[in-house]
Amino acid sequence: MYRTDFLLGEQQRSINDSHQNLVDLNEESLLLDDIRDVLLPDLFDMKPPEYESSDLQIKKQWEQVFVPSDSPVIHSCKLPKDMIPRILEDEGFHIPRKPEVSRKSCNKMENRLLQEGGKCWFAESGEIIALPSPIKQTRNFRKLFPIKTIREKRQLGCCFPVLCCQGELYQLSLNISTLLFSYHPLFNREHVLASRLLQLYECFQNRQQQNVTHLLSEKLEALLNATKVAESNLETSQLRRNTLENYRLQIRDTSKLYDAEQQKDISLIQNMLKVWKQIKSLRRQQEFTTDQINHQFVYLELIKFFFNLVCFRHEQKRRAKVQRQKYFIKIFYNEKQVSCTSETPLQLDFKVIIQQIFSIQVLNWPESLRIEIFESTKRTKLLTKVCLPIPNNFILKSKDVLEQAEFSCEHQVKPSDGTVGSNVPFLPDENEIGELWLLTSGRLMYSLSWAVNDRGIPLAPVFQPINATYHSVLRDVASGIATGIVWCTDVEKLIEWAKEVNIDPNDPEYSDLIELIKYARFKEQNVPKYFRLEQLQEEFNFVTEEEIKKSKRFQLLQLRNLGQLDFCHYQQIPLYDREIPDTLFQEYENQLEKEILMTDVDPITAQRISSANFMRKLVMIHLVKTKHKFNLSDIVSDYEEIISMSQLRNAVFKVGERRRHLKPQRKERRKVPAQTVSDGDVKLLVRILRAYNIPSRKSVTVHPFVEVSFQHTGYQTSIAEGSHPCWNEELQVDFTSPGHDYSFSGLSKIKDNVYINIFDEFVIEKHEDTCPKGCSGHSYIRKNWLGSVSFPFSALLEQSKICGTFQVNMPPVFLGYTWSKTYMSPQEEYCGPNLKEYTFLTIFATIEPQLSSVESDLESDKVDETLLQRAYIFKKDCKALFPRRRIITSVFNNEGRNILVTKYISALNPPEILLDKYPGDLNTTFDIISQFVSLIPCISDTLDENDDIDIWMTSEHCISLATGNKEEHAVLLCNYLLYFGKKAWVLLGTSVLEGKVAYVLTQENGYYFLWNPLNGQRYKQFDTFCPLQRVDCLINWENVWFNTQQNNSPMCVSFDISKEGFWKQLLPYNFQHTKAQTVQPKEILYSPTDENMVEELQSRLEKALKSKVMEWRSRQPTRWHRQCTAVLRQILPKLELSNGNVVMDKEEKELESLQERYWVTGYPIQMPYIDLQSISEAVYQTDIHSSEVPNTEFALAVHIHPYPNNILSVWIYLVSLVCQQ
Amino acid sequence: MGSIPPGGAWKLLSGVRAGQTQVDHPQLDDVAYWSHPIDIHFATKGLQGWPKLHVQVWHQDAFGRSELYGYGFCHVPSSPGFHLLECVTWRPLGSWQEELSQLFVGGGPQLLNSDLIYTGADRYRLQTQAMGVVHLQLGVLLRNFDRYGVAC
Repeated sequence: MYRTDFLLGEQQRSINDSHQNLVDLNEESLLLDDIRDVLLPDLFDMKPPEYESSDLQIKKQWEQVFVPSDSPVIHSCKLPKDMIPRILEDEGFHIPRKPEVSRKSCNKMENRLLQEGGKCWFAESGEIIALPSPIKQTRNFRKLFPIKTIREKRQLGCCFPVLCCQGELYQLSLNISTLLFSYHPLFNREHVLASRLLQLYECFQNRQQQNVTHLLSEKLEALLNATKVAESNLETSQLRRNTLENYRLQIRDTSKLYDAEQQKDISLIQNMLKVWKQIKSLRRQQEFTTDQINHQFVYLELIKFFFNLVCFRHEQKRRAKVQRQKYFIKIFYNEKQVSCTSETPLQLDFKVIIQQIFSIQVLNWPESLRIEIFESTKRTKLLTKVCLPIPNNFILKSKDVLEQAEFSCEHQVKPSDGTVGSNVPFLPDENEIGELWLLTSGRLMYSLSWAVNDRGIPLAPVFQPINATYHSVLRDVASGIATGIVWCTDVEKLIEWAKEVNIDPNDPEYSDLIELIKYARFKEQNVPKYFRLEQLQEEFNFVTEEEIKKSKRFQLLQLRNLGQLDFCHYQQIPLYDREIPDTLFQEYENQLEKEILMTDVDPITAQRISSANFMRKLVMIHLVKTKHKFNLSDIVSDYEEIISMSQLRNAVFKVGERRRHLKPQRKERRKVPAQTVSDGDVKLLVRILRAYNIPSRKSVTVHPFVEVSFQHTGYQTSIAEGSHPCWNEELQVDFTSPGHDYSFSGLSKIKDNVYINIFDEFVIEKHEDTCPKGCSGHSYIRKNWLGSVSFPFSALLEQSKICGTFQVNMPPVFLGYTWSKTYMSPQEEYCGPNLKEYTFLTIFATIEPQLSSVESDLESDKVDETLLQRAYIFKKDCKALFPRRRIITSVFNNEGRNILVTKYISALNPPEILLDKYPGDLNTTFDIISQFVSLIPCISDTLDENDDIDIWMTSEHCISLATGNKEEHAVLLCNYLLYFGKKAWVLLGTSVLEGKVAYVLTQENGYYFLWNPLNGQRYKQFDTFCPLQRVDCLINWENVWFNTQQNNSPMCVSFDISKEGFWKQLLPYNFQHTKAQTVQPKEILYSPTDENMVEELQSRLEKALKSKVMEWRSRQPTRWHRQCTAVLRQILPKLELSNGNVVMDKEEKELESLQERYWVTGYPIQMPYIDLQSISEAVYQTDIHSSEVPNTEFALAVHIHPYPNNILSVWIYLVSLVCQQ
Repeated sequence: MGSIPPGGAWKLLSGVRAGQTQVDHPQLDDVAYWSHPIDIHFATKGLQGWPKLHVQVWHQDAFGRSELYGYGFCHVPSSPGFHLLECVTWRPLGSWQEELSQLFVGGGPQLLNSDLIYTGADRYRLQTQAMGVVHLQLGVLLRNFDRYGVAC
């Protein structure tokens, strides 16, 4: 309420205010009315609105606007007053066609320009300037230029020969002798007249030489005579009359000419006289004569005036000026300044004596030689340019005649001090009316010629006279060849183009082109038919291609890029070439060219090497295909998957877990991608658990210990006691990959084996008294090798762990050891007959950390054949069922063709020799055959991770090359066994020790046997110590079976292939294919091995091994026991024949006899022959050489038993003897 | 995708001339990050044919179809050190019918010969559309250039 009241009050107040205002306004308006009456007529004026009619407006506008008419303009209006239009075309300049403009618009433009006063737009010809002026006004500046000038002493008429080192260099010599001014701005009147006189006189002389008047008078006389004769013979015929008429006409003409010539002569003479008079009067007037003006006149004898009287002041001034005037000359060669003369003063008779000789050594073709004459009083001023003609190449130095070059200059010089100036109107005589425009002019006396060198050979460019007309084109072509720009290669096109464009042949811009076309037409054959793609490249190269190729660093980088840098282990490529040894490349080349036989390598070794290379190449072909394929897990490292439920469970139940298990289980570890590890990260863990049934010494108990060696480093367990020791020790074996390449493929290339050797420690008491008792050094320790288990590193990499009890490889003969009587079997349930004579070792080996392998799912090549397609599908299905199991359905042969594996299997004949050995005993024959197969050297594929690309060679190849991989061995053995009518299959599976293997399965009387083709061993199906772990696939000539049984260890597998639930087959039963489809030959032909070669190899091996042993024992002397060696040599052949089973009596006894005097240790080793290195490696592993006992003697024997096709069985018997005292 | 076209005097020592990046699915902004390493080593006997990088940007749609999104090239810097390069890309334009069909079904004009990207002899005849910038970070190491009087 209160609020509204207040508002109302406000309103009322404002209303009151406005009332008051109204009252005020009314008062004011009364006042205004009075004022209007009085004042307004003065201030305002009423006017009608301004309007202009549109016509008027247009008219006005038209006054402003200028419309040029299109009528033609008179020439005189366009040019400055009193100027005759200069038409350049008439003067000989080339004027190109003008752009077309219609005459009308042109006229309009001209009219407009005239109106605007733009006279500068008109050319001298009176046309609008539409083209660039053909008269070029260029300035030249000094530029470095490959021309040498040699300034010589002032000499006239001769020149010093200039040394010229190259035949290509030409030399011009230019002799600039004098500059004569025929007119000079500093002339005085007398000089002008004198020079005119001289000119007239010269003209007169010329006429006299021509003697036209005389000739004409003679002619006139002759004609007159002729007419006289004609008139005298008045027998006028029509003809005569005509000739007479003709004569008269001629006489008339000739007399007219004669009169005119005579008139000229007379006027000339009169002119001369007049000028002479003028000079005379002038002299009289001046009262002095300018010195040394020589006048020669026909009528007047030589007059010389020699007045050196008092001259007027201005004449003195003029003379001083003349003396101040200096001139110098610049020489331009091909538009480039070459040299210039020194400044020379002007003499009073207006001569400049320069007298300089320039020798110009010329590299480029002479185009032009130009001389610029400069005047230098206070500032230099260009007087004029003179072009000198290039002399012909036959104009040589010997010529002394000076040539003249005339010049003139248009500079305006105002007359002063009695001089006449130049380019200004000049009145030669007061009483004469004729006005003269005199220009500075003169003559240059010079001589130009090609130089001659001191042997008299002209230094001039030589060209054939035929080409003389085309010399400038030649120059172009020559320069083109020199620089590589052959722009004129396609001359035909060029000519065509020229025709099309319709080039004006007179256009100086195209003169080169026209000449070129002419030249090309003239000499079409000589134009090169090629063009260069990268022109000028060679000119700009820093180095040559060879230098880059030679650089060792670059070579290494390229090799590294190709992935062939295995042979040297550089982390970084050295920065400088000097840091890279040359031997590196030799090594590489050696690797490449192993095929090239060294002089001391026998043919057998050579064959081995070449076949190894052959295989390597085969593998390389496919290696390239599969190189760059990675899985996600290879690239992304943090992608961690939970491997199994057990991990999860472990994680959950960790809290409630028992501290110590009684029988701890091995846990699964995380897989680490191989790329992420580096040096020192990877270790091999080998746990040696225990050994069974180690042979014991005859008298004392054995002290066995185990040594694990890998990559030439050994690790040793502690020494246990007895025949059944238990070590339970873990050995950490350091591992470095060569080349620091830890990718899986790089690791799988490592061919090193892990050797686990069992040794017996043998302590011999020292008998010397030099050592006090109680000292540790009172006995010698010797280790005796008892046997070894070895497996390749790649097997460990593949399976990530190797675990189990393995039979130890032992030499067939032990000296000084017997089998222990306390036999203990590693597995109680097994009771075999032979086991007493085998030693077993339980180990566990693994790689820490576990490296994940590349499991690539390759898409194999498209298979078009239905059978192969079926095989491919079958394989895919099988892989889907059991991804870990191996299956091979198709392989590549050595030609790279995809072939079904069944075609590889067919019965083949083994060598005859093997069959003849034990004709009755089949089982022994089989053993021999498997032994034979195992003697073929085995090449392990580096591509173990890729089953998909296997290359199998046929058995024939395998035999002839004497090499093969695991599968080829199995195929060969299977084929041999089939020959005997056995039921045999090739079995693909996994072995504990060897990784992926191929065995041969045979069936006999319901029993199944497994053959290892690599060492010739035969196992029963239920043999516990058979290293075969998994059975994946069976192959024979009919079909391929894939194991679909849950448990695939050989002991649990049922080999009854007829059961489809157990074995999935590739081809249905009813599928029949003929045997003819096999890729194998029907029969293999064997060639016997050369006995001599074998013997040679044998002795070589023995020598090499002996030297090796001595090398290993470099600290101690090595003595060889001859008697023992002889015994060994006798034993060895029998070992091979006996096949290790039969115990020899006689030789054994001989050894026994030795044993009475010596402690004898040593064993025979048998192996296939691959190369020397592998043999020495095997010997090294036995460690016999490392005996430290003094007076140890050694005996070594090598025997090679030859089988057909250079397949050799090598026996090595190494014995160490210690004298018993 | 990118490649380094061969140059006159230049010789490839190691590394690959051409390669392909991963497919990036830009979720934030309109930037695709490829983080593709380029490691290439040249030896040269002259200056002709200084190496250049030439890129082709491709787009993969929801159906997995790839279509061209741009061409571009840039020179490898001639001064040593770290460089941030921006390589502008372009795409040839088709007729309006083609553009319309491209809008709905994808595809579009592509160069028949990829040399055209950097040779430029006929490039002026193309009608193109700007297609974004490819950012490159290049570290350039030069060696022995000063020995032959090349100031870098």
